[in-house]
Amino acid sequence: MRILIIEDEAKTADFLSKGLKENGFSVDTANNGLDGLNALEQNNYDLAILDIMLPALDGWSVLSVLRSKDIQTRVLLLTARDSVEDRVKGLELGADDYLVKPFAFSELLARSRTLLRRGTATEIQKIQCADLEIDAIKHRVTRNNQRIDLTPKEFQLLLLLARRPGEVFSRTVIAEQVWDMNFDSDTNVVDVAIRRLRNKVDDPFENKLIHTIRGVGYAFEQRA
Amino acid sequence: MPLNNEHKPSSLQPLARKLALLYATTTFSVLLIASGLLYWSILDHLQKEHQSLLAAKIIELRQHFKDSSLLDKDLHDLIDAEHHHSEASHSSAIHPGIPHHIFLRIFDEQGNLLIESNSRQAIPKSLKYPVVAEQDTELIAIIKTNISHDQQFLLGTAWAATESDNSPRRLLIQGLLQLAPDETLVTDYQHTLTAVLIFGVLASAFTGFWVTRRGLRPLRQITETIQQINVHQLNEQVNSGQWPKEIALLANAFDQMLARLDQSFSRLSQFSADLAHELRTPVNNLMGSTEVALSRDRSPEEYRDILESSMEEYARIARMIDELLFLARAEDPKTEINATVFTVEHEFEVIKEFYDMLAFEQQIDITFNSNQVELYADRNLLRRVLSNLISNAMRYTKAHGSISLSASYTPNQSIKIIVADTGSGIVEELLPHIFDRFFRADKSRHYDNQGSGLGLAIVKSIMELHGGQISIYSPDQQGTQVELLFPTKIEM
Repeated sequence: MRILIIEDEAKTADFLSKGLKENGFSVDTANNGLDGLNALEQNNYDLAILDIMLPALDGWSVLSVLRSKDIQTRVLLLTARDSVEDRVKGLELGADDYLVKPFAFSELLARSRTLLRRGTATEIQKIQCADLEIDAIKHRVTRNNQRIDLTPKEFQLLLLLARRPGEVFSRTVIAEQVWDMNFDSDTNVVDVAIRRLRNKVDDPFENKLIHTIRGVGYAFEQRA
Repeated sequence: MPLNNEHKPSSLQPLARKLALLYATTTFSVLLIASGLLYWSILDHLQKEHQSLLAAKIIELRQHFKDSSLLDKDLHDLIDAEHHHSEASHSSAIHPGIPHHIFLRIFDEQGNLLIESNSRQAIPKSLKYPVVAEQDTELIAIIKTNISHDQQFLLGTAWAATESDNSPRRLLIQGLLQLAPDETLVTDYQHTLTAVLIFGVLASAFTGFWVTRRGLRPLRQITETIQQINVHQLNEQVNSGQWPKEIALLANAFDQMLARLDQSFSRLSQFSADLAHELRTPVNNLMGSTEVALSRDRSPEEYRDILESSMEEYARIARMIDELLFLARAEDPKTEINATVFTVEHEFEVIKEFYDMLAFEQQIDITFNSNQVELYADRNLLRRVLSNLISNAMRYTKAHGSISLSASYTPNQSIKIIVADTGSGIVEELLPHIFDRFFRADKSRHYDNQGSGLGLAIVKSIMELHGGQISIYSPDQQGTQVELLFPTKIEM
């Protein structure tokens, strides 16, 4: 999967590039709009991460030129300005998604993956990770052939993490996906829920599957 | 402020001039009408005086005939003497300076002229005296005749009864009084009136100008005071209590506006100070820990620990920015909400589900009662309101306490949602500040345990976006009760 980052702020481009590479993407960067547009026209990228405030040619122009030339590369817009008009304008010009700075890298990664996956894979219904098995249809979780009883929310939480092993989920994303709370809240509800889930899924076993990425969020994977 | 000073005189004088002009025109009209009326009534009065003068003369003659019963040669003397007498005493006493030319004639029954007084001037022949019936010796008829503008006459007629040679006779007396043309009194009066008019108008224009300037002096003083006021002196009082009532009212209104401005201003600067302070702690932590970390080589675990700790600070700052942006957006009057109709019951369920695990751990009971209320609002924003309120309530409620949510219709069909807890409540002095940004009731609480201090500010701004109201009670500091009042769909 090839991603082009068009961003004039060197530090931002740097950490985005580094993070995405480490997550298995092949990444190029452009530090102004014109170079970015050229690169997009000449190469076949799967995703462009496009900043709006850019020298030479701004993000809006890059996007509209791109769409007018019928290049359907997916575009994720980045901006420091959070106004509804901007959001609407971006989507009307043909952007696929929109992120406001400051954003969590895990959030950007999740959105990028969603965009790249869009219209392809169907949700996996049976998940196996180490000795843990999840049946999404029957709502059954077993570990080491032992049945684990989870509440509906605990099950939803586990399923969310386990469907994308290794991916870091921020508390905000978890609250959004599991409880439909579409805003940042300053409670530790998510931490409590994770603790209770671990209590049932991980604590009795030596091989831990749910991991805390301090300050960022939680991830599910077999590390041992 | 030289610019403002330049404007001052030009903005003051037109009003003074205008008012002076207004005074002058008003005075002119009033004086004109008043003197016109006076002039008319004096003319009327003069004419009546002349009439009674003529009548008195005729009556005198008639009396003379009655008494002396004689048409003798003394009569000449009488007519002329009386005439002169009347001129000398009567008229000069009552109407100084008005000459009266009373011309008298006496006829017998057959119409023969018996006697007439000396005429000092030409008397038109065509004058028509009033006619009186011969038998009527009591009546005197007087009419006014205008020959021309200069020649106006009063004509009087009367019959007198007398005796001649012991037989009753009747004599016809005719009197004529010429109203003198250009009577000096009237002319004088006209002159005086004109003078009064001119002087009155000038005087009133002048006093009007003076009075207005004087009256407007407080206004000028107010202007000067206001010009002195800048951002740092918003608490200055314009109303010093020495001004007339009208100006004092203006000054008072201005003071009230200043007070409101002062409040907003200090709130704003307080907010800036608070914001800087809020940023100081995490930035200080970040700088310090990074600096210390870089001062020597460390193990990977140590680096990781420092980075993780930094990440927490970053997240805190990022959320603060998010919330401040939300507040700024909510203050923008153009911001629209995405309102739909939904049952409150479902929202209560969702929010309870979200907080249930935390509540269970803290041994707090969350209950709700929605009474089948339907609400027209932005669903996500309502969740945010409820979430912030419950999160707050949890922070101040001890184990075995409870938080209850309830919804109901008010008598006027608004929707009331109450979030009540059995927590420690709020000290009454703090209630007015509770919606301020970065306000925290418990200052001693540890930094990591605190909320952002923006939760209630966000709740309030969301209620304002809905055109609703929020109030907080803490009766006897036994728990806190937050009341949300949503208007009905039609009112929004």
